[in-house]
Amino acid sequence: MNRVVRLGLLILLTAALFALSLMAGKQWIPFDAWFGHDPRWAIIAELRIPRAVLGVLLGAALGLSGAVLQGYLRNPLADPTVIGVSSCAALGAVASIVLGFGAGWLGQFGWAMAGAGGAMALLAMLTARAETPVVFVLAGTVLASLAGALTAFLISIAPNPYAIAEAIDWLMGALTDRGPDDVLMAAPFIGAGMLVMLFTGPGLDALALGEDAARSLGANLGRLRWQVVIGTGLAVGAGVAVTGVVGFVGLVVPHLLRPVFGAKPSALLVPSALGGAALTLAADSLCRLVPGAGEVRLGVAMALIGAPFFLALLFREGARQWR
Amino acid sequence: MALTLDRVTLDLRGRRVLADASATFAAGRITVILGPNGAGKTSLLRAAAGLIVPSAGKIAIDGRAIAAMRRDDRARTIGYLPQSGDVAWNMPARDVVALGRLPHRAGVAEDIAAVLSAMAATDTEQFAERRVGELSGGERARVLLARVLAGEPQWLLADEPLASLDPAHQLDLLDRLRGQAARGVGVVVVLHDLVQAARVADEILLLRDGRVFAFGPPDEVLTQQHLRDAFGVDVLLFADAQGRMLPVPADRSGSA
Amino acid sequence: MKPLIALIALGLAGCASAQPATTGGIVSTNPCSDQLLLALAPDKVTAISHYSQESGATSIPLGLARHYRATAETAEEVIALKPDLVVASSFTSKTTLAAYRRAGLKVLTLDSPTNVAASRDQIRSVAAAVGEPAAGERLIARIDRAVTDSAPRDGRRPATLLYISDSFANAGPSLLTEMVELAGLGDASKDFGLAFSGNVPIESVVAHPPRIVLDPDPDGRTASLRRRVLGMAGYQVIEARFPRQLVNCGGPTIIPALRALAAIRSRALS
Repeated sequence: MNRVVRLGLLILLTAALFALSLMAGKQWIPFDAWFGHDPRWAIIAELRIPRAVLGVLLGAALGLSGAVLQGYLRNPLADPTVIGVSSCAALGAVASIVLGFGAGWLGQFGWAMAGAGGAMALLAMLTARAETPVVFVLAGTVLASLAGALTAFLISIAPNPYAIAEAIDWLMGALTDRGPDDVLMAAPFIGAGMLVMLFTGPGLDALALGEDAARSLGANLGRLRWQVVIGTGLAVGAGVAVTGVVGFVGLVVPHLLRPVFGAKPSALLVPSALGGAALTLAADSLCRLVPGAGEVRLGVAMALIGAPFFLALLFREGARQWR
Repeated sequence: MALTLDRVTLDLRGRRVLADASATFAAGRITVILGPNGAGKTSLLRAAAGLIVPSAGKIAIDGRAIAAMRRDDRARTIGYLPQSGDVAWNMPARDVVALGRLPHRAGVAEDIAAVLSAMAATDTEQFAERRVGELSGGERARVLLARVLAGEPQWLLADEPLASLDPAHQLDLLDRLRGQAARGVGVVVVLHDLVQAARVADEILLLRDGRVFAFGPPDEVLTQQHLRDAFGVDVLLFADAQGRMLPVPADRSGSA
Repeated sequence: MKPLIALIALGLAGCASAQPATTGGIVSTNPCSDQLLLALAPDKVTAISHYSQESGATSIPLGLARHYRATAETAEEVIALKPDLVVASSFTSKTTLAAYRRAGLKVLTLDSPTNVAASRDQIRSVAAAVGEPAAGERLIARIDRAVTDSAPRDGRRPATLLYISDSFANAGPSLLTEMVELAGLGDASKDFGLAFSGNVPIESVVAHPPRIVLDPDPDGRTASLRRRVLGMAGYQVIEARFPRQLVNCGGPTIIPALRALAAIRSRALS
């Protein structure tokens, strides 16, 4: 089964999950409700379609970022949270919730993107003269810790319990009640970030031989670092800004697809984007299908799916998977 | 065709690792860089590959400064084989070799042909589909050499390519380097082993404390006096079948 | 906001001029008990909770709140005031309560009443504890009058879904639920399978639209999207603002809350 066929199957899977996502929910809405004057069409048009599109964008952004970061850091444990962008975006959003800045939703999105932008700038500054990716990881870890501490601090000084509840709820990540406006706000950033990331393929491949060999092969490592920082920052930042913090996708998807598409970093980029989209759509459908009045939070669902799955993978593969 | 270092000075992290070094490497010949630990061998090689910018002096190929060359151009001209043989991802050997084609904007057919020819030259075709992590040290070393050869460079710079190879594989790799030189590639190798250096080198560049200590054919450079001054060891000289004098370290000398 | 403040102020009518005591007296440590004590014994209150001085969390007019000293509900601050009585809530942390007890303070812990009858009982016991039984009875009388005034004249009960925040709706046995029913509205939360207050996403509302939707922030993102989807689906749902301040507490808040609910009902049915 060659690469084109595998890619085709992955696309089909994503499309099928997209269709499922449109139908599944507390109300099961079959496709014949799309035609005729069924009032449920409003649910499809204004809620499920934007939500599915957002799920694809978010999942693709996270999956692709995970593949890029694992390639760049030469470490299969890397994931978008390691560079601290999602924590800083979350800090921006929580700040706007708790301190009441920004009028309504655009304000919150803007603040989250500002947080992501700040993280990108700090990362670029901290790693400007770095020779190894270790500095990169350290800088990201420091940013994530600092952002996490500030987020907790803000929650602790919240002026009223509703702000606390809203912040904590938002942090768990959700696609619930996201509409067309959210898609319009996030899509340009996610699209731009993903486009930048797709250019990193050859550089990431060269890096597999080490920095010296990569540079001797003509790779521009400075430019590559910019592409990684800006690409992941925009895509992950906008994703978090709109849906809250959803983890695991960037870690698990490249891992799952490495045996199928090969370990070469450039070969994993597009498949990881598709795989991330598929996983997010599946998880989001599950969020809606769980019995009960409300929906499970996507971030929670992803962790509940991702962690045991990952444990099973580790038990089964042992050390073989890591090299 | 020559790769020249003209009074090159290298500073790394505030430390002067090479001072005022001049040397000429010729195409179609093997130059071995020797010297004690910390003498600046790796730094010199990295500078020749364009990976370090000299603080002073010029490095040029046929008069054309390598710093002025475009990245891709330099990558196509100079092939660099670093010391560490780690490949971060467990890819099949042919994918690793194909990485050598990255600087080329050639078509797929040309790339495949170059990869096949490089693997033939290193006798690695039989494990083209096997993953690099499952190969033995010697096999992996040959695959990494094939990667450099796939780029069809005019200059092959190798940093201690014999480290962690058993004697048979060491001789095998040196043979392949000699084959490349015979085809007109300029080969510059950093080695630790004095005997191997004596057997394979057309020229030897002996470094000590960041300076060029001696440069010339092996029998001129690998004298007991030079080796005593550079390494602080007394050597015994044995002649091989071809009449070359092979220095075997015997004892630490009084002066170091 | 202004009419609301007026309503709350009305609810506190019967307080004499606010002259806070300086030590001794009563220290109240949560917004609901602040409101109740200021209605019953404003002169005896030494300090109130800092939340009562924040517009998002207060249940009393800010101008009135600023006359009083505020604490952040730490044992240190409260003990330093040497109060005769500390009024805490069921949300006060156990360590803080233990600290009060160790300091030998008299503590009255109030829970959140889940119906009007429980609220009446709470008013009586607090009034007795602060030595103002008559004020307590007066407040209860006003509450009873509000209950009668807001009772429906006919049997219609338009189904109402009451959001407390973004997508969190009130449900289950609570004071709010009882007030909704006393004002002649139907509790729609039962239709969504909610046993207690919980999330009702827009999808569910659109699939099973109630007659009336109440929200603290009708211009917010979720409410606007909900309105849009309901409109697209062709449903005529009445939307009205129901401020958070009316949701938090029992006691004096019952009066403006019932009045607001009744007003919404008559607007909906006209």
